[in-house]
Amino acid sequence: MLAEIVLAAIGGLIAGCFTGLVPGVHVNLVSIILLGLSGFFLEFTEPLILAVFIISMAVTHTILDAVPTIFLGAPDSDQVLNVLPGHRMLLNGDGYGAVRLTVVGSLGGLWLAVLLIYPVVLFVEKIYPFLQRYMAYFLIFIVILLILRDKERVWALILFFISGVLGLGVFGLNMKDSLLPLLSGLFGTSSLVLSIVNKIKIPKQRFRRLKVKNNILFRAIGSSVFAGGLVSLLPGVGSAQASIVASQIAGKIGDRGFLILVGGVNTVNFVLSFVSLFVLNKARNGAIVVVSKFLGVLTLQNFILFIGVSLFVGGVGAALALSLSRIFSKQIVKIKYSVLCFSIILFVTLLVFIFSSWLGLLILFVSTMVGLIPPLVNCGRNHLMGCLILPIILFFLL
Amino acid sequence: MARLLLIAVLTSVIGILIILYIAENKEVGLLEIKDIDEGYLDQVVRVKGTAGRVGLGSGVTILNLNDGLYEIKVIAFDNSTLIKSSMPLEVYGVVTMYKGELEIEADEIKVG
Repeated sequence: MLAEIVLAAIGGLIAGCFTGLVPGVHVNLVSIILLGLSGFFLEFTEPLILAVFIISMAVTHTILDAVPTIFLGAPDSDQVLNVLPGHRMLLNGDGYGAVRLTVVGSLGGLWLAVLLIYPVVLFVEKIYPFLQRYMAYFLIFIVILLILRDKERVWALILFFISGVLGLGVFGLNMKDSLLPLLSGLFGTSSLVLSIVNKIKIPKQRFRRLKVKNNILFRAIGSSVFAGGLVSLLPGVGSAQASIVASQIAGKIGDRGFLILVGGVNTVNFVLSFVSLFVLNKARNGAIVVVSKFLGVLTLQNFILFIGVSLFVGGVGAALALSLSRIFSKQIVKIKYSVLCFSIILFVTLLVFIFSSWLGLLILFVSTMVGLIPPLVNCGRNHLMGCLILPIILFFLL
Repeated sequence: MARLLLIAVLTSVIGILIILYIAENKEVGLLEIKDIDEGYLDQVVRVKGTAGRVGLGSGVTILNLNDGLYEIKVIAFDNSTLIKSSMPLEVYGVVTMYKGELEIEADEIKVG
């Protein structure tokens, strides 16, 4: 049994490398495919082994998805806020340093979350009824703060509402996997189109450690654990929104602190989501839903096993992310960046067509156009999260 | 860059209007029960099948809808139903998850 668990963890690591590095492939997608094939796999192994595989894959994914986000400007839905700071550092020759910061955040967040797991869950459980009652006002408060913080407040407001109405329209289309074209367009392909238009050249990359003051490090990791725990109980609210909340809690932490924070939130949010499955019997993301389908009730023994697997995979995944970002740093200057950007746009377009058909392509095109606006008016891209936040506010208000 | 901004803004507005128009006028297509997975969470679906076990609670009707091979639980917040086991049904509602299982919260159930 132990050998099978180790093999499943290693298999999950390999699969997590694939889902983390390939733009547009989310761990939820692979989990659902695995669920569909479970009849076949369960002839050879036990449900617990498949669950370990998924946990391992998902934790690896949360660490490695920073690599394409920073080097290719093609994030998945959990890393959307990471694009600009990470890309800025890449253009300064510090792509490796940027990935290193997110890895520090992921590992730091993972350890702190594991250490604080029980008090965090108790706290969240206590404030959950209050938070649920005032969720809409809480979100409105965050949106107002973000808009007031931007230098281009009018554009920030317009962008929040444009993306919000776009989100409402897309969800109204009632189609499967609508988030893929929506978020890929707003945060991925739009960055890539601008890189092509601006004829961006990636400078030679350095392999230096970017120093961060201790108080910024602790604020970034601490707030990522707090916000990750807070949103792990909320429907429809994921890592990107948790990052917005965490950045408000952390205060001014700069680009470097922000990368640590996003890395932390991403991993913490996942780890706390299976904690909430154990304590509250709530599955808050696709991978955990599949795990709960395999196992039914999560026992204390399996819960401890998952924590152990997460720590093991977190360590190996961090080392892998650093090695891979070294390879990316060396190779990215040899490739013509515009050709690379164009290839990724084509790949994402193909994925969108496969999963969301022609309507998906329309959404991808429109959201790409919306995603072009913030950099052209010197406004923060985070306001485009209105595509999710506005529908959620209306859901709680109406 | 000013021209690119103009194109981006105009295309965004026109595109969003088109998406809103389609969303407003789109008919919900008929799905097969086996096709309903987590990707349809919070989406409105329309499925046909036969009523299996029908249970009545306080203010709620719970039934299993099956098409011979696959089955999904349907919840209707109304217990004044005339639905009986083995009736052919068409259910229109939102896909939700309860205790890790997908189910449909019915807005409308037609017999036949």
